[in-house]
Amino acid sequence: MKRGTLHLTLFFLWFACGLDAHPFVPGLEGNPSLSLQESGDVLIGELQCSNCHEGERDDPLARKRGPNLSEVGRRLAPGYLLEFLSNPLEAHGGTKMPDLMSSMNAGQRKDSAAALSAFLRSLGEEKSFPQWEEKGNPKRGKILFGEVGCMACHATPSEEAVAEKEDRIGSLGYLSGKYPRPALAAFLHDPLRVRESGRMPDFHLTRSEANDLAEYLVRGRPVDATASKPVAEQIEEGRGLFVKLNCVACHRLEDMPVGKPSLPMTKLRRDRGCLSAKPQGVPDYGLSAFQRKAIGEALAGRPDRLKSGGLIKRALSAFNCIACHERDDYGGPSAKLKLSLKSSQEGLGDHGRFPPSLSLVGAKLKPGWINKVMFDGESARPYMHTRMPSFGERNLGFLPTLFSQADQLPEMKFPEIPRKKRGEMRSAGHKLVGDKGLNCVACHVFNGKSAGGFQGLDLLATYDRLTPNWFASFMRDPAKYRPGIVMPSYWAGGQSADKETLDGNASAQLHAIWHFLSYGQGAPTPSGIGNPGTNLEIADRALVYRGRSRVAGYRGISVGFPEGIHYAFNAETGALSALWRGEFVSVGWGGQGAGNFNPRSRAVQLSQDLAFQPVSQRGKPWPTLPKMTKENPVNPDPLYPKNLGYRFRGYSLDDHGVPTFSYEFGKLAVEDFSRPRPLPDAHLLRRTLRITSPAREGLLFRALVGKIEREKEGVFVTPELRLSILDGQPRLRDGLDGNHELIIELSLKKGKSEFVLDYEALR
Amino acid sequence: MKPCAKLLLLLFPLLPPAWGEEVGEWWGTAERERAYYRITEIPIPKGLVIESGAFVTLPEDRIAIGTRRGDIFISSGIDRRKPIPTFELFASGLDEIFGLAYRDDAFYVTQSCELTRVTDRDGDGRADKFETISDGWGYGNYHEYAFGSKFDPKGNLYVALGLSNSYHSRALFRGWAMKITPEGKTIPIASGLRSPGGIGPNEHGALFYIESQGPWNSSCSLKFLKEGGFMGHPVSFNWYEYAKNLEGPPKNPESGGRIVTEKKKVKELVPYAVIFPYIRMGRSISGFVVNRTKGKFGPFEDQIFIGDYTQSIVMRATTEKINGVWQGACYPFREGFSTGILNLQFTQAGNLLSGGTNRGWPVRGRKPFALERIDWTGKMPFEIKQVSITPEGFSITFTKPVHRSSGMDPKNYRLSTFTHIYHGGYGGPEVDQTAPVVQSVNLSKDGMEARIEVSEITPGHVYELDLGTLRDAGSEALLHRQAYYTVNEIPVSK
Repeated sequence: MKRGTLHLTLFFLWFACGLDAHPFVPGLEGNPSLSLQESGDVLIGELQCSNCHEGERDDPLARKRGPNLSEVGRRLAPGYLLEFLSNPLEAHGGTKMPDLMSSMNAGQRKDSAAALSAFLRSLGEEKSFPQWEEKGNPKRGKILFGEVGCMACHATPSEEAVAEKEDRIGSLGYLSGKYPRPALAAFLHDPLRVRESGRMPDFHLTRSEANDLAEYLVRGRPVDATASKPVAEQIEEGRGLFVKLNCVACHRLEDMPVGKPSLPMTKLRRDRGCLSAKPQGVPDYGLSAFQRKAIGEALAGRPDRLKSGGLIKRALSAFNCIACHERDDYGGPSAKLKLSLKSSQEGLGDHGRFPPSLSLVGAKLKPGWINKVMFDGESARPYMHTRMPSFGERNLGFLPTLFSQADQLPEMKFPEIPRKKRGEMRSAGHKLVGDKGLNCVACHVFNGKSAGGFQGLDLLATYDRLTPNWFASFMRDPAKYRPGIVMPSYWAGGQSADKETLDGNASAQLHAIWHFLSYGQGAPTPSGIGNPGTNLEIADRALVYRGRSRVAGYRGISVGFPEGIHYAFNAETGALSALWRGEFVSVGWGGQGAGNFNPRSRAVQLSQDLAFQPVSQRGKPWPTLPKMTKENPVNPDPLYPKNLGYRFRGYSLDDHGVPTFSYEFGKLAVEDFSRPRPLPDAHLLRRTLRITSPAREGLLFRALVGKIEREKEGVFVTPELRLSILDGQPRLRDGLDGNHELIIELSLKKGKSEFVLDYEALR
Repeated sequence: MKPCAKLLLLLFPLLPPAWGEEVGEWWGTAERERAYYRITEIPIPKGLVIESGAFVTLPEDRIAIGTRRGDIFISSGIDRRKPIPTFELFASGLDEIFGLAYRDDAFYVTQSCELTRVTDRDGDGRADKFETISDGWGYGNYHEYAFGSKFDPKGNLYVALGLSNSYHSRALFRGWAMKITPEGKTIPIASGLRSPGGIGPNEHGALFYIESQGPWNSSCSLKFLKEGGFMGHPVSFNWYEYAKNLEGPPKNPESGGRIVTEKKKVKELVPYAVIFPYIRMGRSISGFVVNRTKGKFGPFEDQIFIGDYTQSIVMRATTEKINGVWQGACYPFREGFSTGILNLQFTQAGNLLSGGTNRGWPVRGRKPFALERIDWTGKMPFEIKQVSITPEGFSITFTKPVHRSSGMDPKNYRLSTFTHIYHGGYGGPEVDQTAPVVQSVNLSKDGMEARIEVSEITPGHVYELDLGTLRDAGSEALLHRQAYYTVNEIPVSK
């Protein structure tokens, strides 16, 4: 939008709204829960009256300050900054920044704005405010705008500002001229950095979400971020004005004096000064008649009157919590907002979509949990697309205590369970929660895992979140406390739906569930919830995964290929110990286990013994892995196979992720790599042994153990495997337990020799 | 790794615990602690699982994270006011990483099976060479975890090896600590470990490790890892014949006595340096790190910070060497973490990064995995800074001046003591309790140190100090009222 057009539009809107572009406090627009006087109390806080008029520092809502301007020149478009300073009420309809130059003529106004703008742009280092250059996706930004909660206070950028009034939301029409996209993205990511008072809260956007949202909000319009460098003279003049106009009262800057106090709050009168219909020589907020009246009412009896209560209600209005949350008889999403609140668990009903009610919240939640939700970004409802934003502990840190003082439920203390009875109570709770009992897991996640039905609030969060009072009262009659909730009552009229457990005694059952959940993560997983392994999927590269496995020992390494043939290598002995086709491996990442792997189809199991012996051992029994049994579990030969000269040296990956294993056998250095043959022979795994020897010598390599038959020259089969020997002298001999051993005698040259084998799984 | 395997686990080692264990309540101080030390969650992108087991800082403000799932991520942006971390996958497919060191563009990764040097030869940001530096130990049971240190000044690395199934020593050197020299030699240095969970230098540069509660250990403890020492659990004596550098197995300790008496009979036995009273100070303490942030992390410079897996808390510890024996104190620090803490790392900006999982053992924090950063807010908490022993009692220093009359009143220094039975049973009660009397207090002029004279000091006992009624100059109570000092030796008066 061209500058001139913006002007015209704003002027038109201002005119069309009946000269009513008053400072916009979203929580006050059409809020019937507050009296005129209470509305005025909120306005006094939101308009930061006490920054000039002293006397109520004790009111936590009177501590609001303006944005931190130390980096403002790095954030805002210079053109917008100038325009805003020239006439804030016109540049940004609804702003709470007053016009401080109402007594100046047009020329003075222009010069003053230029000087102030020069001064502000001189602040901050070149790169002090982050500029995110990566582009966002406006479509995703639009979805975020609709879902995370922006719409609680802001109309979509495309909506006409005329809609403001009925929807109690403010227009963002000015935004695209204000921010260059990179700065807007950084602002949206961390709004509290600039707006410390938290009226624009932090929605915990990731960097890419902030980019998407910014892209959507500026609608692809590049903002002219270039401007002439401010000159020193102008900067100094601006600095002087910044103090003279008392900007410092609301915008603290380092090395600047604090604001000049005006009349104390108790001396203020209605219709005078800022509250007059046409303020002159004082800040002009463009107050509406309603606002002037409300503030006038509110001045009566302040500040003592504020101590008599109502702070919760005022705070929820000032921060517009009521746009999303209801409490008692006020607040809650508007009909329009309700349409845009989404959930990924639709079956949970409106309670899965709408932010929770705050009625009795101080009696419901443990104080520690309220703090985490309000200030640390904690959330118990991952399915709810709307996010609980952070308003800053500095701003709302007083609220949790107020809630817990105001909200009371009948005292319910679960008595300490005697040690001897704990097992029984725990088991009862375990059963009740699972699908053999009341089947809470049908609709609730347990420790992040679902039984396959709805995925409501994680049951394991119960003990961290809820007070026993709430748990005991709510569970007996959920709909009494949260009307319309889909959660049924399992103890209607004191009668349990489970008549067996603990003899169907409602109190005992509730106690048992509470006790069971109090174990937190130590609570065993209830029936109905599984613990599956994780499948490792292969993309376009080979994949190496290390872990213990029945097919490769404790020092096992599995290697998967996109071609669908995979093998396992036992690094403890240097054996290619298994191969299989189809899917790769499933990994046990549940419980204590260290990620053991299992082939996802039946593997051809090969020997896991050391594969090499010196030729001098020809005719001798092959040295095999030490055997541990239940009776003799201690390794009887703990140095095997190191005492036979084997030493694992590691592996390296090529550009396709294919590993080459390195190990030593005596003075020999072995490089061992396997990969599928090219098509059409990709079902064959070709193994190459590259052996570096200091001298010419022979080496025994036991290639196969089992029921082996010689199919033809150099080709041997077992019921599961065909092995083709391309080099060396294969010899079959009888081994242990009626098995055969296929031993190949390799002739090593001095230096490097290479031997190749092809493995073909026959299943 | 974690110790609390009980009989059932022995029978079904691959199943998650099926009995339900009490993890213990928190201290109840979180709401006050947050004014001084804030916990900030480091967001992990959707779809990534980062079960941190080890950390190491890298040049250019990057931090590497080794995970239980065997990945190494390189992360930037953790220290930002509002973190926007990036996580680049550097290596994957390793076997449960509990040790990460970095030197000359190479990672030294302690995984269950071996110590591996991991490098990126072609510079594409992904590891492509995995060299086995040491696999000089047996590995034949899933519970045989291995924890690795950072480099010591001579370039050595140390690996602490847990027992088989947490009770036995069935594979080579299970229950031992190994030194791996810069030349790649693997040298067994001490036997008698049970279930270690972290290994590295204390604040004075001596090699320590943490031990978990279980047989021969009635509480978790920090222990001095003495070369040639025996750390208390005799089941690993069977491997002395493979430790040619050491003299044959020590005398078997007698089960059911006290460590003070047994250490006189078994000369290699190294007593617990700092006992963490069970439940009150963690249930399975884990990785630890020394604060060398030059004051950026507040008043606790040069102190040990140590996590706890079960209770999702972080504690502090200090050590001192008295008559040639290490001992010291532990202190509560911060509770309220989201998951079981496996390791800690100070970041380049002087914040403390914690990470871990809640997989496999009961944990207070309910998140399956998390990374959290603890920042000092700049506000000075009123805390017991350090407890040290004196010939007559203890010196207690504070982070803020103590109120004069409150600090001079011996009634505000309450003491109780206990010791443990040194035995082969799992865990054990606190026994032989005493209640020594504080006979006098000498408060320094600036109110920052109180020296208390105590009616008796009993070696082998843990001294619990409760200063709950003490007030600072602004009438504020201590953020944490307790400290626990383990007495092995009493200094001689000069």
